[in-house]
Amino acid sequence: MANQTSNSTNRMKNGPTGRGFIGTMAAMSSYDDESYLDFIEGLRMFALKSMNPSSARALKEEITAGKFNSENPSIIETRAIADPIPVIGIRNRMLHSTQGLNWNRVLESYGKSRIALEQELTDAEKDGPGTLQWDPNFVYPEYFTVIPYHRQPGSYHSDPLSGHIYHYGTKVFHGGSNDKDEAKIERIVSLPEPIDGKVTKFLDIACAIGSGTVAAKERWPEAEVYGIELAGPLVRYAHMRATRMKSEVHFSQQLAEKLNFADNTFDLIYMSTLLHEMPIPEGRTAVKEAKRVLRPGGILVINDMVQATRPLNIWSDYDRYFDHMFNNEPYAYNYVHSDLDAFLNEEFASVESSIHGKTSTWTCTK
Amino acid sequence: MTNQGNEPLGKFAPENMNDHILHVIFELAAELWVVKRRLAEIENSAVTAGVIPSPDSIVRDETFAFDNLGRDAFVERIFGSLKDIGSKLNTQ
Repeated sequence: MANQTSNSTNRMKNGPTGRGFIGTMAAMSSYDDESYLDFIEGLRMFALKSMNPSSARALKEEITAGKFNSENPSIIETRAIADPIPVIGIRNRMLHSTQGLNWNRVLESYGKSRIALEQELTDAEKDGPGTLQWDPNFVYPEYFTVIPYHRQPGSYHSDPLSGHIYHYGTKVFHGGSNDKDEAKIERIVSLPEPIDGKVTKFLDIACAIGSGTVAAKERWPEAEVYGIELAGPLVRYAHMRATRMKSEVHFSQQLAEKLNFADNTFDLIYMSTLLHEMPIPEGRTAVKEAKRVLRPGGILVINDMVQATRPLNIWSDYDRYFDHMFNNEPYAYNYVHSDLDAFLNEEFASVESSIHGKTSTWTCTK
Repeated sequence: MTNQGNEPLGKFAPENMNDHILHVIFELAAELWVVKRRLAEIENSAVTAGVIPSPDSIVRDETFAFDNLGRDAFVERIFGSLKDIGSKLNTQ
């Protein structure tokens, strides 16, 4: 018994890869893998912080020089001018390479510990304090399976370790600034409450690996907190991770377009970075479903990509299209041109919006 | 006959190889960072154990090899010139 306890303690300390944890995720299976990805993280940050501004400046020089025929050029016209600019081509290559190198190394490294990582998922399924509902035979909509999002090998749904891979991959995406969920916690802490201050039921739609969901339980410990996610491996990972963190969150595998909750159930609903990953009609349906399960006076908060402006920010439009075409964001470009504001204003009693960098927040009251 | 003294740069690889070459450079740089990081760890351990005196006369603490500032400076040193290429070249 003493040995079992000791082994269990060691497993918790060393984690499923035997190398402990970085923040809330299992460390890579080897020190070299970790170092490799540390470099990729640094190179990606260089691309974003140095190459991006230089590229934007180079394109602006072309705009100032009168190379464009319109202040709202088509993406074809923009690409004809931007693609040949050397600094932009190098930026594009850098972003594309770092993304591919990132995913491949994470997959390879976690693959070395696959048996232990999958076992941890299975062991956690019946553990609490929270709950998990998922269906290994879940039938995914075609729009979801047609392309691996963000070029993640196996996408979100077809590798049992998709949740692990997503978590470490997004660590690199965040440049290490979210290792302990800092970025997700900050967003949850900033969420407004309904005007009556009542938050007894909270729903996180498309919760991915449940970072925001667990943060919500921290903020409202007396509330019932639910997270729904379409991808089975992600929602399994979310539950396993919440269990490790002793957070009582109820996770389930559901379509955002067809929620398994009664009308008027939730006081506060959070929908983050979902709509740009869906075709426009399905995204509109998801918003209407969120409205259905939101109680009168409740709030839906949407975080997602900034909508395109008029006159067009030509660099932003090019950057978004690059992501759309070369980083497997199949619906993002249409989404940013979809006039989400007009749709939300038709649906809700009041809508307030704000912009933070590349992200917008819409606070919608029913 | 070829002039052995002059490397015929530009003769063999087609112009559109740049994209591929850049990708290789990124991969090589990542592997180089792996080696540098591991070496720093071993050096630090060796110094701590008294096996060797401080390498390069620098005593490194445990955060040395994991410092993002050090990593980012390494990246900047290798790739920093690329960010200015847009204003130096014109391929139009």
